[in-house]
Amino acid sequence: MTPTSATSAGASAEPAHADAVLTIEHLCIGLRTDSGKFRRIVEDANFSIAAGEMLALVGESGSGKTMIARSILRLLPQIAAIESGRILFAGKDLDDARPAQMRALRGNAIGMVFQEPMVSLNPALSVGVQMTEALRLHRGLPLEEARRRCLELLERVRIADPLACLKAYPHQFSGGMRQRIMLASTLAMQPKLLIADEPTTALDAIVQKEVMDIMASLTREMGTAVLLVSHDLGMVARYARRIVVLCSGETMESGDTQQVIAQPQHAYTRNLLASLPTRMPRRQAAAATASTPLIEIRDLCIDFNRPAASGRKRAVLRAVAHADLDLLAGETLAVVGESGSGKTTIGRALVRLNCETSGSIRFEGREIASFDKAEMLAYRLKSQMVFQDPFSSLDPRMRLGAIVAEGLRLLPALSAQERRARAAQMLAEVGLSGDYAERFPHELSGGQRQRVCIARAIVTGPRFLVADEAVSALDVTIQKQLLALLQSLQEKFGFACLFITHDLGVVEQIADRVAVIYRGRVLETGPRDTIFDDPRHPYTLRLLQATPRIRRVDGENRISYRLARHEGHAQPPPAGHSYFNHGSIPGQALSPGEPLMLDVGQQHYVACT
Amino acid sequence: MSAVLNAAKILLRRRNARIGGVLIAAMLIAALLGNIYTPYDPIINDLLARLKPPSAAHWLGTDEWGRDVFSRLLNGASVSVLISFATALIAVVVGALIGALTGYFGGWLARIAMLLVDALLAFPSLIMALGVIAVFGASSEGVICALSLTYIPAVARVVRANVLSLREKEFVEASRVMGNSELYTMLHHALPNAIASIIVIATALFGWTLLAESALSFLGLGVPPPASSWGGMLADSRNYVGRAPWLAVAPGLAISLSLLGVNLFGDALRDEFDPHMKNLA
Repeated sequence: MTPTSATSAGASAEPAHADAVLTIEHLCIGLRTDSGKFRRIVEDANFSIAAGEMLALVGESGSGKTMIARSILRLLPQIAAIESGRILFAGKDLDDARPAQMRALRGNAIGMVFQEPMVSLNPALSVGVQMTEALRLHRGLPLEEARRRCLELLERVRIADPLACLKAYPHQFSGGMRQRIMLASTLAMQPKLLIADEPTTALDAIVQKEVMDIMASLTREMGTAVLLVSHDLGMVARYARRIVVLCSGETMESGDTQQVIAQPQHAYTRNLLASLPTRMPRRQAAAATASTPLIEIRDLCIDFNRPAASGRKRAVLRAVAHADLDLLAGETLAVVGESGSGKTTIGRALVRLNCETSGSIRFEGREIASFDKAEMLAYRLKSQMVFQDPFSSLDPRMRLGAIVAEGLRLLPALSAQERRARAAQMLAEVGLSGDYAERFPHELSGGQRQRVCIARAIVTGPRFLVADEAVSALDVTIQKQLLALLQSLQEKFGFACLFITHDLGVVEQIADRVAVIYRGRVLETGPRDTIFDDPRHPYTLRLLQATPRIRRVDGENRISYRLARHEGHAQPPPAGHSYFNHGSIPGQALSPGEPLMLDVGQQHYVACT
Repeated sequence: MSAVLNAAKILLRRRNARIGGVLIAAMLIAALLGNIYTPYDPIINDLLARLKPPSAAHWLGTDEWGRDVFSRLLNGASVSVLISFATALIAVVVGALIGALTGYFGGWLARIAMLLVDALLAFPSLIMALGVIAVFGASSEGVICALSLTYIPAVARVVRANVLSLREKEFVEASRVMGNSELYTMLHHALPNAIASIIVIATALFGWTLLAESALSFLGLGVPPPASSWGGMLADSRNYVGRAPWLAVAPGLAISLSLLGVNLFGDALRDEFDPHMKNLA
C-alpha cells in the first residue's frame, strides 16, 4: 500500500525543506526472524519536522511508532535493523555517522524523554548529578555553570524549589514531577530535536495536561522540534501541529492535525476516530427500579500499614476515608480518580481482597463482615472481579476451558462434564467459540485474554462485577469492542458493575452513575450526565477539563474541551457551605473536619463543609 | 497408566529427553545389575592383580587392592544413585513445601521458619553434614540425611522467592475472589507456576549430591569401605592418578554422564511443563 497523504500533501511527505530539523525518507525497518530473513515492521515512512514544530506519530500497539523514534537515535533493539531509507538530521545523513558521532548527538542535539518516569531516572544518583552530567559531558561546562543552567530549567518546568530539587533523589518525587525533571534535564542541553515517547501515558489526566503544557510552551520558545509518539488521539489533537497515522508499520495518513482529525481520508483513521469512546444514551434497564441498593457502603475506612522507616513508628496510610457509595442492581457505577486515590481499594474490599478498617459494606441489606463460612462462599459466587492486566490475570499453566470452569468448581451438583460445557458456552458468549477452550493464555492477544477474564467472572452468574481498569491496557479499537461486549452481557445477565477507571472517555460511554474520588475521599457522586454537564466540585471540573475529546458534529470531527464555558470556575457551593478541600483544590485553605455529602438535586451529591 | 505412557511419548519427542533418558536408563541398569551380577567380586582383594590397566580380563583395569574397577563401578552405582535420588527428592519435597508455605501464607510462623532456614544456610554445609553423620553414623542413610538437610534451605529459599512473587499475581487473586480456599489456590496456582525453578534446582541437587558424597567419602564419612560408591572410588583414586589414571576416569565418567543425563532430562521436563512450548506444533 502506498501512503495516502491526501491532506495537505505539500506540507508533510515532501523531501527536506530548508529549515527541517529532521527528515525521514523512505525509512524501512525490519525484524530479524529465526530463519534469518527480515520481517518488515516499518514500511516506507516519510516525514519531516521543522524547528519549533511538534509532529506526532500516532498508532496502536505494534504500529511501529516507537521503532521509528528509536531508529533516529540508533536505539533499536538487537533484532531490529534499518533496511533502507534515509534519516537526515539538520541536513546530515545519520547513516554516515560513526558511533562516536552518534554519541555526540544523543542527549546533546537530540534529547529523548521516555514513557516510564519511575525508571528513567537513576535512583542511586541525586537529581543534580544526573542533570549536570550531560552538560558537563557534551558542553564541558564547569560544575557551577551547569548547576546554574539546571536551576534555571527547573524553574521553567515549574518545580517549586529548584535548589532543594537538585539535592534530592528521584524517589522523593511523584511521577509527574519526575517527568518534569526529565524534561528539564533534556531541555537544558537546548537540543534541536526532542523525541518524546509516550511521555505522559503513565501520568494522571491533570498531571498529563500540566506536563504537556510545559513541554509545548518550552519547546516552542526554544525552537526545539518535537517528535511526539503517542497512542492518545485526543492528546495529540490538542498539542501536535502535524500528525502521522501508522498502522502495522505503514503510514495510513499524514498531514495537518486539525484537518486529519476533521476529515480523515483513510478508512483506518476513520475507524480509529470512531472507536474513541463517546457518550451513549443511558440504558433504561437499571435506573431507579431497585428499591434497596445491591450494595451499600457506609462510612468505609481502609488503612494500610506502611513499612516503618528505620527508628520511626509504623506509619498508617488511610487509603479510603469515610466513603459512602451505593451500587444499584444492574447499574454501572464508575469510580473515577487518579492513581493512589483509593478507587481500587474500594473495589478490592467489595470482593474481600482487602478488609475494611471501619465502616460497613452491606450486600442485599446484610453486613458482609458478619458472614459465616458458607455465607461467604455464597457471596463469593455472587461477586466477581475483572483485573487490569490481561497478561497476569490468567494462570499461564491452564487451558482456557479449565480457567473458566474453575469458577464452577464450588457449585455443588455439577459434573465435570457439565462444568466443561458451561465453560465452553460462556467462552462462546464472549466471542471465543471453537477450539479456544483448548488453548493457553499466551496464545491470545490482550483483548482476547480480557474476554476470558470476563467469561471467568460471569460464569457463576454473579450479581455484580468489579472491573478494575479492565480496558485500560488495550488499544482503543479493542477497547470499544470490549465495552460493547460488557454492556451486552450486562443486559443479558443483569449484573451490576463497579467500573474503576481513570479514563473519563470510557466513563462517559458506559456509566449510569459516577463517583469522583480523590485521595481516599468521595468528592462527588451523581448520574453520569449530571456529573459531565454540571459538575459542582472544583476538582471534578478540573479533571473533566484536563482531557480533550473528539466529537462528531455535523459530519465533521471536532476537537473540543469539556465544559469549556466554565473556564475553570466551578459553580458556587450551596449557600452557607464551601466545597470540601483536602488538597483537591490547589491554592486554597484546607477544610477542617469531615465533609458532608450535600444533595444538590437529582441524586447528585457533593462534598462540602 | 495409559496417561503416563502418553505423557512419556510426548516427552520423548524432545531430543533432550531421549538422550537424557538413555543415560538415566543406563545408570539405572548399572545400579540394578550391580546388585545381581558383577564379573568379579567387588570387595575381595587380589593383590597379584594390583593397578592393572584396562584389558580383556579387566575392562576398566584394577585398583590398588587388585579389585576389578568395572565390577566396583556397577556395584557402586546402586549406592550412588540411591543416595543422589533420595537426597534430591527429600530436599526438594521438604524445601519446596517449606518455601511455598512460608512464601504464600507469611506471618510470624513463617518468619521463624525462615530464620531457622537462614541459620542452616549460614553453616558450612560440610561441617553440618559432619555433625549429622556423627549422630547417624557413616552409612548411606546417614549421608542421605546429612545432605538433604544441608540442601533444604537452598530449595526453600528459591521456592519461597518464586511463590512470593506469584502470590501477588492477579490470577492468584482471581482464584481467591472465586472463593477457592487459600490452600487450594497455593497448590493449584502458586506452586505449579514455580515448577520450572524447582526442576532446575532438583537436577542441580542430584549433581551436587554425587560430588558431595565423594567429598564425604574422602573424609572417611561416606559409605564405609570396602563397599564401593562412585564418589568413594574417585576419592581413592587420587593417590594413583599418575600411575593409574583409569582409576579416576571410570568413576569420573560415570558421574559426568549420569549428571548429563539428569540435566538433559530435567531441561526437557521443564520445557514440557512450560505452557509457552505447548500447542506450537
